[in-house]
Amino acid sequence: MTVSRRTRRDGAGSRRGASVPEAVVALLVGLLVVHLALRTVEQMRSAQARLAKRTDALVALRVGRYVVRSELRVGLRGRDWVLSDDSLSLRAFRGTATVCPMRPAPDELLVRYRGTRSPDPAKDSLLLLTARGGAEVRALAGMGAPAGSCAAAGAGALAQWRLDREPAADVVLARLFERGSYHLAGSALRYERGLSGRQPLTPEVWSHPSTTWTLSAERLGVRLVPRDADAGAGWSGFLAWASRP
Amino acid sequence: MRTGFTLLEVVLALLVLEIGVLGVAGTLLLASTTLTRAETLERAVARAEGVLDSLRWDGAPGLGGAPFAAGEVVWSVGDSGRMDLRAIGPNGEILLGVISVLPAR
Repeated sequence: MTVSRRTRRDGAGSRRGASVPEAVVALLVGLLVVHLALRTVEQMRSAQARLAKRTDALVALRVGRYVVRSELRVGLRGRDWVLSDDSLSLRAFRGTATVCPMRPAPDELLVRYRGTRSPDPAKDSLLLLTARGGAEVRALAGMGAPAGSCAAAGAGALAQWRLDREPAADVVLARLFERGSYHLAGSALRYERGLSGRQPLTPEVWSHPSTTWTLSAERLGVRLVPRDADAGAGWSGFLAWASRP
Repeated sequence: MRTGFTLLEVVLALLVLEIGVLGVAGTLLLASTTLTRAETLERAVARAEGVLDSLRWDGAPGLGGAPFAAGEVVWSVGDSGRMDLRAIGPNGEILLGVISVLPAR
């Protein structure tokens, strides 16, 4: 038996093509094979899509949780971060500098700086800590080549910073920060700094009305609910202390 | 002269196709299993981090447990501040373990 066109010879002469029953059977088998193939392809595409959604949701959970926890780990509510509606405004610390004893000018500091990125006077400010335990905030107005040496102040790149106004005389430590805000908006975690707009940090997978920050007297948490049921279960958890126990 | 395919040829072709399809399906299944494990681990780590944060601030000696979506985080804190924390998976397997000493309060 064949399922396609064939040639068959008999004793009296030749007959070309297939008989009607053969053609019908071949057609039915062919349709069945095509149907099964299409269903298989459809199910595989569906399975791949579910996997992609779950992967995106997992990435969003991991990135969202890690980023915000890292930012808030050493911050204090009210002083370093404030929550309002969907916005978490904060000082995002990017580095720490040890202040050298020598001061090139009244409004300048010679420092040894270590951080996750280089300072940028266009967007950075400084939280200055004094030897008496005080703190004050200054804007970073400019940077220049270091005019002096500072062997005693520990590791870090030597730099000279100009501030917007004169700091206290006994400043010993400077923490570099930028002001920014995190938002649970548009189905993703977004970061906004200055006028740069809200840049997404995660895939857009979360249900907007259900995904929220959760704030109690003691803790800041987050409830993340995937927009698509195929993306897996949601997650609620702890991000930072709202008040130190 | 005969043209076209015999039934045997068609069956063999389908068999080869089936092997390919099964291979792809097996890959998808493996990916799904791996992803499920990754999700479980992620939730275990998230829960463990929350518990560790609490213990760091209020690590009274004793035993405790906190469930998460696919298991439970259990811990014990000794009088000396030695802490043993484990995340137990849905089948009783240990997903992660942390042994540390809590800061004195």
